Amino acid sequence: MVLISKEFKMQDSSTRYATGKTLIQPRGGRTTEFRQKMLWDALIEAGCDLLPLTIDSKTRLGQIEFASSAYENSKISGLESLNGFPLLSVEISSARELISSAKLPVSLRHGTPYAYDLISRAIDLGVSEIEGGPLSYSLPYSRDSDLVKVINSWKESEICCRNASELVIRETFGILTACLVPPVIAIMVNVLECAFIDTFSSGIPMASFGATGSPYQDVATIQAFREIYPWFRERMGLTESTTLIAYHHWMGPFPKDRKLAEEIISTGTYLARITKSNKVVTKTIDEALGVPTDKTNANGVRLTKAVLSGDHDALNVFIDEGKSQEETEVLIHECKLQLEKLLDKTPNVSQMLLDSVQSGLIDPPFAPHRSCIGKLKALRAIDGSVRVTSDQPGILSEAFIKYEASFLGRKKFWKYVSSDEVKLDLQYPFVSKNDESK
Amino acid sequence: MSQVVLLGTVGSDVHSVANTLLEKALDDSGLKVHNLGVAVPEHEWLSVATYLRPDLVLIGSMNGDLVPLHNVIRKLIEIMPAHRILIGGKLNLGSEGISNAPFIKAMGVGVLQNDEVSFQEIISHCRLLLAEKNGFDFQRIQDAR
Repeated sequence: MVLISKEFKMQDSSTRYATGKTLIQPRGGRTTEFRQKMLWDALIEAGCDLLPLTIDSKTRLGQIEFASSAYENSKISGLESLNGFPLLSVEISSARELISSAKLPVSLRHGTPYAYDLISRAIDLGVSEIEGGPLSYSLPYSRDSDLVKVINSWKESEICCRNASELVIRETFGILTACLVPPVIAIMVNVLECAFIDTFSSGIPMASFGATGSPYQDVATIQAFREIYPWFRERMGLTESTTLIAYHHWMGPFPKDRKLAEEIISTGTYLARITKSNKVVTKTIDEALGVPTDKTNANGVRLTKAVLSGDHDALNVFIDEGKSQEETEVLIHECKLQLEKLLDKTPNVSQMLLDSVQSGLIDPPFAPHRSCIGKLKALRAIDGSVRVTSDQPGILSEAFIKYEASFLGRKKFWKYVSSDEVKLDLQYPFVSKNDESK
Repeated sequence: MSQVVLLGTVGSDVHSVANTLLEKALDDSGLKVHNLGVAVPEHEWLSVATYLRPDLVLIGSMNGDLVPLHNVIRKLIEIMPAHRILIGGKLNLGSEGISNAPFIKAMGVGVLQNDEVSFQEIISHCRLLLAEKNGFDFQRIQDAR
């Protein structure tokens, strides 16, 4: 167990959000301290506001021995053999030196179901933004994790964040599998995980949403969350608190065409700005070519910064306010209905997290976890929005399923949709976006 | 007896989208699929493959976790012909985008970069390999191409 040290002052990122600016947060983790520092230097030079510390997939799944051996080999050879930073393999003094040398607040991004070891180490080192939650870091990232044990590990993690020397930003990962995640699922995961964070008073909760490819739907989703969460917090008897919003650039497959990739990133940045998101988490235009280099990552930051501060009229983004308003109302109605059902069963948020998965309500498309019952299917509608259909009645309300089906045409019968069609649905819907603007 | 296709990812790879869709595509085309899912440990691959004796194995690899992938391929080759093992995905690791496809190909297995092939093409490839097992000269067709 890592003891919480208060000697090392955290860089307080919470004050940064007070300005109301949309902050820029890139992603990225390298195998060694030296390479991580190089990445950070490139990102700082490009103008980011927060530094990423993305953990490698071996450490995420607890394969520490492998990660340690790969880390040692990388230090000798200079060649990176992990896809992120192996925080639990690096000597504490060396990791502390790295974090304390950071000129900006550091954000931990990891995808670890049993998160306590990583989070306690990160908090001890002075990391001030912690991403993830019991569902958002287990359903998309593991197959066999025990949800009860996962929730317990996150409870300990929340206590650890609460005991940190300064206020921690506790960000959920409502993006989940990042592929056709219906807004109704994204909102409910964010509501439950923010309530979990508020229950433990572990820091400032930050809900996170990802670009779905439908601008009007993304605006509606964030608006709906902003109205639902205060209602839910009150129903839970939790004290009023500030809730922040992170908006992630498109996390689905990127086109190899750099112009189109640039359009995706610019649109996402514009949406972060108009939704008054507190943070935008960036991607790069070379995403389709593999793991981004320091240079391409920094270029992603530069492009985001330019759109945030520049003339957005140059962008071809049209948001149908009428459709967005209607979508917001429908989402608020359905989410409150489903959350009421959870509240009827138990006042305990941990139990609600479990119930929501067992009942099939939190059932992200393509989630590998065995607990996901896989009855909700998501598809892209002709107007580019993400819609949900269900093989099983009773999970979502009949009226909502009918509303969703009205966008889907024949696709509402999932069994007649081919895998190649679904693969197409996973792409960024450029054509639909143009249709929307007509 | 119907022919079995074994499907899954290895080690820490949790990329489930292609896995789910490929299962549906193979199933829709009438092939018998046994999907192990994602992040399957090496020992599970070996025990299931030993028990099922699949006619084809399809492994997806997206996150560059290549050591367990190599290990599984090495073990599978001991119990089935290497060319009936197909690897698909993004076979590179690191910021320089170095492809590991040649190393994997050198082990004798087939490589299908999933950015470039449709599910229909994967199914056609599987059907040819399965037909070869029933006496069809797959190698001749490959060479002719």
